[in-house]
Amino acid sequence: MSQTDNKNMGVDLKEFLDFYLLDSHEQIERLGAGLLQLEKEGGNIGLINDLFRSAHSLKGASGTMGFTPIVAMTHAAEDLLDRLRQGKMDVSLEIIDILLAVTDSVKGMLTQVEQRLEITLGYEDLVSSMKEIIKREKNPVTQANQQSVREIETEEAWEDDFQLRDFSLDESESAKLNNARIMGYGAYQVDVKLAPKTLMKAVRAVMATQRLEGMGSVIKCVPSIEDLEIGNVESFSLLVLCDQPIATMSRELLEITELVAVDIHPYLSGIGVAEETTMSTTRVVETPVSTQKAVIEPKKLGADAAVLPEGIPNGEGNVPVHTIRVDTARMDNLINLVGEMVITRTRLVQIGSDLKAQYQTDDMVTNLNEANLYLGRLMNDLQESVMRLRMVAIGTVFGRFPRLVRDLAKKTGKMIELVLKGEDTELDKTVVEVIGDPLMHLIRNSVDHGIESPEERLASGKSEHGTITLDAYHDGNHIAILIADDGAGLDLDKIRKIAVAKGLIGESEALPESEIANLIFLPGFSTADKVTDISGRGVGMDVVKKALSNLGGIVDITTRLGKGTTFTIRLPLTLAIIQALLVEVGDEVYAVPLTSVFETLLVNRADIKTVGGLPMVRLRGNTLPLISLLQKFDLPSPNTPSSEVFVVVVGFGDEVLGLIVDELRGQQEVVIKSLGNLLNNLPGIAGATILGDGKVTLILDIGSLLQDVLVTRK
Amino acid sequence: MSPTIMIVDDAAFMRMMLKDILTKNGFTVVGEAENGVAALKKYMGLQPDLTIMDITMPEMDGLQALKEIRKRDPKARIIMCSAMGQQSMVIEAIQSGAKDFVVKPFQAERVCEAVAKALK
Repeated sequence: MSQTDNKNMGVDLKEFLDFYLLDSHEQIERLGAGLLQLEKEGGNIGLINDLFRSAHSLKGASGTMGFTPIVAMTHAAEDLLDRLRQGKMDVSLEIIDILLAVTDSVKGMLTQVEQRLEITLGYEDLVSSMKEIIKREKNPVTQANQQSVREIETEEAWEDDFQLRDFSLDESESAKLNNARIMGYGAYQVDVKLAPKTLMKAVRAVMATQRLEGMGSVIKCVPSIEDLEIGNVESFSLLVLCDQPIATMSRELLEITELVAVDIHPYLSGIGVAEETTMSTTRVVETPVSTQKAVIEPKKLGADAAVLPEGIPNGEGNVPVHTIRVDTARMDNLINLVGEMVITRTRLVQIGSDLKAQYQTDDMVTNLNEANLYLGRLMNDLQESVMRLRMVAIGTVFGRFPRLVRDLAKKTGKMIELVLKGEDTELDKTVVEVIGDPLMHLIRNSVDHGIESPEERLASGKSEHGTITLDAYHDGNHIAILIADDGAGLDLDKIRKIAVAKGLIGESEALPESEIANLIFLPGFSTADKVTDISGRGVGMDVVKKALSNLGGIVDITTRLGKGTTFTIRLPLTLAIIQALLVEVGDEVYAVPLTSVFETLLVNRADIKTVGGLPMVRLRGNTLPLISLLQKFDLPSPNTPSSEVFVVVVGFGDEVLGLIVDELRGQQEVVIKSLGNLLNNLPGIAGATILGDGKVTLILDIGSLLQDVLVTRK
Repeated sequence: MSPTIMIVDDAAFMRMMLKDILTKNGFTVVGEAENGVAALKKYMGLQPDLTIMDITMPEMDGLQALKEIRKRDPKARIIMCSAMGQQSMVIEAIQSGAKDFVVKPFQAERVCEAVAKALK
């Protein structure tokens, strides 16, 4: 890479590229999520400090790697955040937007770096915009007029002339301050101005302290309560620890009569303002007559200050999770090996039972079978552990949706709240990697077509805010993911009409409601009157369904006109090793994933009826649609068809199907092996496996079989 | 209905002055008392929205009365009236739940400001 080759004097930066990318992606994600939180909360010092540190780290790492554009942007962002955390600027919508734009831009640049390309994305505009904002802040009058996310009620008379007070903290007070910082509390200097000729100023100070103690802790008051009463000053400063936003503190204090102005700034003594503090505290050492204690301490404070800056741990209350990063290739290799072990074990079991058949009472045979049994239990445990290695919390996918919804809501002028549940639900990593896009599409769909505009919602008696709920949970042997909105619901009549108009169904075809909704998954279907760029081009839904069925899952819709729509996605839990029911169809053996099997039946051929061209049988009062695997896979029929057949009832949730097979062979553990790129998309086939006897067996894709039968086609 | 206020002070002149200020500013004075004991009794009967209470009074001083009233009605809104030099008593009153205080001699604006804020 030309950008990095010449830098850093012979150290090969390429080695560190992967590490840099991993780290930077994390920082950017944190920055993005933190900005969204900041938008909601306003002036939270702990949060702003974290954002500052993220920008700072990014800048440093990118500088080392020589990625100048990223450095330029993160440097300007860092400046902006620095001013925010010092209280010299207020958090505003404009600042949040521009910082979010920066995270987007850096993400794009990181992608270019990842692909070993030059960074070509422009950044000068963003940088100069940020510099503009900083320049503007220098003029305090304009600042008062800026639209703030949280407005601080400060009287104009109070000059924006912030001076760091010398609180002359003694040892216990300093310790309290440092401990609080480490725990993520903000330390603030609260300057209070009293009305002229206020009597009993000390009592006002007591009242102020009282209010602040209600939301934090007051370390000190300067001048002291006694001095306040004797002297002529009409203001005092409090050193306060608080985890509430500045605006809340101000509001509380200004409710006290005779308090005319409140100015609150983060108290950063010990972080970068060390010089000032040490100087002013040495002055205090000189005054012998002082009611303040332990004057020797300040020197210590100064010395500590030099150590503190980098030493301050991340105060956001992170619980250290003990994890290590593992190369996914290594993990896949491990899983492969375990898979092979499972197959080999099955062979051993086969051999063991063959031996038993031949040498019933031989001790060695018995020993072998016992060992096999034990091995089986070990294999189960090993398998489970290995499968869990691949499990990733779905929260990692959910993470990008708040931002998506925020931006889409802004774009469409709708007010939408996104509720995330079940973020801890774990999925196989391959599923997690692929599920993001379909979910994103469904969410976009909800925003665009589901949730109505605030006016429409109010008109129909709903709240202005629409809610989209994303939920993930384990349901039996599957994972269910729900995307629910409380919007307009699907117009089933409209859908039906369009399907007829597009020739997707016959005009007189009677469909139950649940299936009309599913029509939107057919290719070429779209009810959007005009094509918006969000969704509605008619290529979306069928792609979603396809992507999901590739994962062996299905999607279902429930909707009520005027109330909302819910998409329910069901996915099998694991993809690599499964329990399967082996069945014989003609001369072939197939494996049916046991998790999708509800039951097996022995059915008389005579009981199989044909309705609308499709075979079915009555099962406990309901109609069970059937599919003949012999026909489906175009296998030669046996010479003498038996009078009875086995039907394996399979399905997900409410959708069921019966597979007509000739024989049931039994249950077995099976390792799914992909068929490779050439054969990947065979309808009805999910993969292949090798049985104990060495034979290759195809594994059925229940999802796609269901789709064939249950989505009506002409 | 304008907010109801009870005035407690042992000096009749003070009570008159306060009544004047309050009535002219839209508040309704529903009762007066000249010491803590009377205040306590009248409070339970009148249930005023706000009480203005002088600190130095015979029989039972304002601080004591404050505590007694708030024991019976924790939501009681009470503003203390103090003369200079009684700072520590005022502090104790604040810490015992008084909403605010005014210092004699009064300034009408300060009194009204305190009353308005306490009634919020």
